[in-house]
Amino acid sequence: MTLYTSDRVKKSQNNEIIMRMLLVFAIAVFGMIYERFSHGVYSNYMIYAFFIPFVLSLMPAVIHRLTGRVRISDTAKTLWDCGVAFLTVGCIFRGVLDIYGTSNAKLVLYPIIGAGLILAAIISDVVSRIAVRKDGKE
Amino acid sequence: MRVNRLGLGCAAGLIALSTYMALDTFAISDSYQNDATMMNMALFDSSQEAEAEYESEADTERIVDSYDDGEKSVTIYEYRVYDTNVYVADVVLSSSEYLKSAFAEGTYGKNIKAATSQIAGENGAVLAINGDYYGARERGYVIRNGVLYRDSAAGSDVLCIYPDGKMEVVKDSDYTAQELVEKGVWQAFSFGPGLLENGEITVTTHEEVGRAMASNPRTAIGWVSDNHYLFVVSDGRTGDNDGLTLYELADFMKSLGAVTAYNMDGGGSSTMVFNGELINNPSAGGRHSRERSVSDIVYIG
Repeated sequence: MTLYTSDRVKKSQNNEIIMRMLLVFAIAVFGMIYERFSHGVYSNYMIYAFFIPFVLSLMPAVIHRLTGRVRISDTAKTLWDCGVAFLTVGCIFRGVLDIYGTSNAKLVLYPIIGAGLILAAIISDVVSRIAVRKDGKE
Repeated sequence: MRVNRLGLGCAAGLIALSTYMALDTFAISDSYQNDATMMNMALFDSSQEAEAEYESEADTERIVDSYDDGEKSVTIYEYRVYDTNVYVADVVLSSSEYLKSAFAEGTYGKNIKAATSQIAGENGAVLAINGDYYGARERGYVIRNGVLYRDSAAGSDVLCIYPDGKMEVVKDSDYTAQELVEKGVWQAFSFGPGLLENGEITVTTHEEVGRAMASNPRTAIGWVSDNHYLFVVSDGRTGDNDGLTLYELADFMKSLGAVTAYNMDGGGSSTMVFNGELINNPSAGGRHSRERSVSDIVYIG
């Protein structure tokens, strides 16, 4: 029974890694195509936007799959993914504006919200771990 | 279920923010000053009229059109350089008060745009080219017809045109906008970079506008002598026209005899209008030549 559950978890983690890999790949391809038709105007924000989900989404999932012991709460995971989404979309948006030749000071909202959500994810995870430990002691 | 709601809430927030950002950047108009058609003619009280002479040092390929009313003389030439059609308006004025600028809809603001030909028509321009598209950026000095509209520096070269018919390129880190007004600047544009200074090319072969790293349609203004200017617009981004790099543009303007030259907004914005007729082939419409709506123009009128 334990083996069955473990296999199911691993399969789920594998699927998650594949999904995240596809997402990173899709963002990288989008950036390449956008650059291809930008008449030689380039933006590092567009070219390297895929790096954010690669480092903050795919790599943690791979590490988690390899080490496999740490249990992260669903709430923390969702907050983390949302934070990464805000950071990534903000980066792509900045790339679009760079290539168009314009700017918008309000773009700073993306990293602020993104970082806030990631911080909230960390706090949420820490709180849930403390709660689990307390429950264990009791 | 709670987690899904959290995810959906974040996704909705992200979509809402992105939609707002897109509208705020590209669509929502914001007028900072409705009647932005003032001209500070007091600047010309002490300026002297210059006697300018046309002296082109470059080989002319073709004269397209010309205009002369005794105060303003404009001759349009077409060149073929670097596999690109380049249009040069040789402008000789009795006073630089005839070198004016205008905002789309006569309004200074964000996302207020119109085609160069439309703004030119509304202002009775003999000759017009697109300006620096100040509305696409949130910073950069804007001094037009002697009136200061924006005083925030963008870390860029600033083109200054003076009532005495002179022109220079300065760094906005060296002068505040107010200092430029006190110096008597008639027009100031913030795009760049400067292309020529004292007749020498000031860009490298690898230097480009911000992130543009290829040949493109270009717009530039050159100064030959007092009240003698060159307005240059090149085609590009088409099968027949490669467009110019900044260095090629600078080199070409040097060959025309320009002493000072400055790069304005280019790409799809590059447009030259003479007596209501489009001279170049603007590239805003992809395969089909179409004018891009811009914030402002520089014109003779």
